[in-house]
Amino acid sequence: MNVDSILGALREAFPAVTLEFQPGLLDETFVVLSADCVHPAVRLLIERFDIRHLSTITGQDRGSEIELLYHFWDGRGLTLRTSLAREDSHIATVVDLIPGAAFYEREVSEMLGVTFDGHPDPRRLLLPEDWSGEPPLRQGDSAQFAEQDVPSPSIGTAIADSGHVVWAKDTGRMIIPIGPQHPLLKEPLSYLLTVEGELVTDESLRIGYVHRGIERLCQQRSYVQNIYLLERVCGICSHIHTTTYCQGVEALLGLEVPQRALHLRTLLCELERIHSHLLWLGVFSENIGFTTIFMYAWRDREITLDIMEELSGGRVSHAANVIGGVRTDVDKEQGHSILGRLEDLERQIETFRDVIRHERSFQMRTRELGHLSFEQVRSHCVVGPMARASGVDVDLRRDAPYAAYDGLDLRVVTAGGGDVWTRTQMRVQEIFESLHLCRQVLKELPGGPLTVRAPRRVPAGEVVSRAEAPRGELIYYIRSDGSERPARVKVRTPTMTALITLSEQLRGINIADVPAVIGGTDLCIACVDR
Amino acid sequence: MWESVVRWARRKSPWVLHFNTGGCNGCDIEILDLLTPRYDVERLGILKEASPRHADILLCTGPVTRQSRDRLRRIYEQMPAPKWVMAIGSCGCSGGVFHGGYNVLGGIDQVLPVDIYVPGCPCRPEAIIAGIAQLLDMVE
Repeated sequence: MNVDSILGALREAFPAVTLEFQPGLLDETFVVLSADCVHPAVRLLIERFDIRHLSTITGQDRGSEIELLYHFWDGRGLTLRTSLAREDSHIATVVDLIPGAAFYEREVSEMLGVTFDGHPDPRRLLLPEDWSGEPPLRQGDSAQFAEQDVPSPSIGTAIADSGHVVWAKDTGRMIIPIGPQHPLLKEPLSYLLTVEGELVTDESLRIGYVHRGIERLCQQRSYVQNIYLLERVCGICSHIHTTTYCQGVEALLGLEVPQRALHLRTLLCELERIHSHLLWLGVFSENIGFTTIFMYAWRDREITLDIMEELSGGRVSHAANVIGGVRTDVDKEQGHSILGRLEDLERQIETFRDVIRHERSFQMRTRELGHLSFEQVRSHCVVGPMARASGVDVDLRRDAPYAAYDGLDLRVVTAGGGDVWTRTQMRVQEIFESLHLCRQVLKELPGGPLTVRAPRRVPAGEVVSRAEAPRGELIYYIRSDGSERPARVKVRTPTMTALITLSEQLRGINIADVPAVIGGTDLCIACVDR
Repeated sequence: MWESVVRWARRKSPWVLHFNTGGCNGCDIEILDLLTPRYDVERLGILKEASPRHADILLCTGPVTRQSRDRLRRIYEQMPAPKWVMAIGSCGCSGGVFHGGYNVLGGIDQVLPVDIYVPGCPCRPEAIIAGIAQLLDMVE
């Protein structure tokens, strides 16, 4: 991304408007423009510069006005900033240009009371249907659970909640509810599948069952307390959340984190990726009825959990990161023992790779299923393994190295198939790459301190922090107003982007293939709902 | 005689149902971990069930969110008596780290009568097994 030429083009396109450019921390550029310029500016970014990856839209209450931030990414970050009037806030939707923005806009809409004109589906995303309070992220409003509210669920929710299959005799259509409690799902979400014969013709998704309001809780807690809160956004990829958050706060503080700490962070990130991919392999195999692989994958996953427990004291939540470094160390002997165990693990994963590559029943269940093209992936802003399986060569560990990835030999795995089978093969291949990275870190672990002293008070400022979670790009926006609590923490997790593509993957497939498609997408609902 | 047979059967094969009412996945994957080779609770007669209508014990993880409350109640009502509820993890016990959130009601005991509390964030699989064992002692 050539920032200067983009800025020049924007200036040229909007000569009447004063544009303001602000270079930000962590290589992010902020461009301030008026609300009616956002839609044409996005169109210009797409048509002239082919910048189509909208990481997320952050909304925040700045007192007199509501501010929206459109975070784009193309090798480096570009954020469009605009302000809306507090009362009756309106802005044109960008879903017509970027279909992947649909969920981002729905979230901003319910959290801050902004109306996106022309949005094709302005339903609620995370808040319950019977929410009647103020938008929860508006300052000063008492967002409270009002017990006296009478729930008035929509028809869709009523069917989902009844748990019954509905059959319309005249049309021959059937509505099958899946979730929120269903053997296929490990976490609650609700699907209503419209089925004609054996084929899925329509679907409707409802999430928000595990929405805990973490973003608002962050504003009520101190920077240090937030590490432990944000670790609990997700139990599978807890370490990457704290890494991204700490990285952002450290940038705000201007801290230089010791190399040893960065290497240890990287080690835990990669162990976590192995654990997450093995967990997924197991759950996915169980979904398609391959229980043997489920048992074996989860048995061998314990090896990584043991290593992480040894390093940090926790199997799932590690609390390894602190602002300014890590609080965990590894000595020579331990490193040696870990290397040995990783070797055992690698042999096991070679077995899995051979089984899922050559097992015919596995191929029959997954080939040509849930296909996403290169174009679909780009227009829906899909990230991580889902994007790489459709041929999009993106990996933040290489493209925007954080922690210690800069000095490590990293091979990004991409494939062109775009179906569930390709995704399966690719994720298993990624485990080998992660093992390769773990070995490098352990062998080249530099000496030195584990932490630097972090000042108590975080100076006013804002930062966009990105990292590659096991499921793809994770982005944090943190704004400090100089007080002891952050003024805004926005989290966009990778599963949010994968969830949007599910409707395209599900339509037209056989009802028996639904578990394979949902499983192959590797959803983490706790991450999405926050 | 019949009574003692029923009691024996109940104690030897508790079927559990897992429902996430708003948790972060941490405790949920530890519950799933119970089924896998290292912990393998099936050797103790514990079976994870998919339908509330077949379950004896409800394992709830996470704080109760506003949207999952009604579903939690319905699942409990669908379970045949006698039935027991276990709150798994610190969030399930009290709301934990999410206490005070606008969409969070608190622990499981705000909605259902809880028989056993298993604290921990996330609680270890061993702790869940110990909790179930304690519950079975209580049943007897």
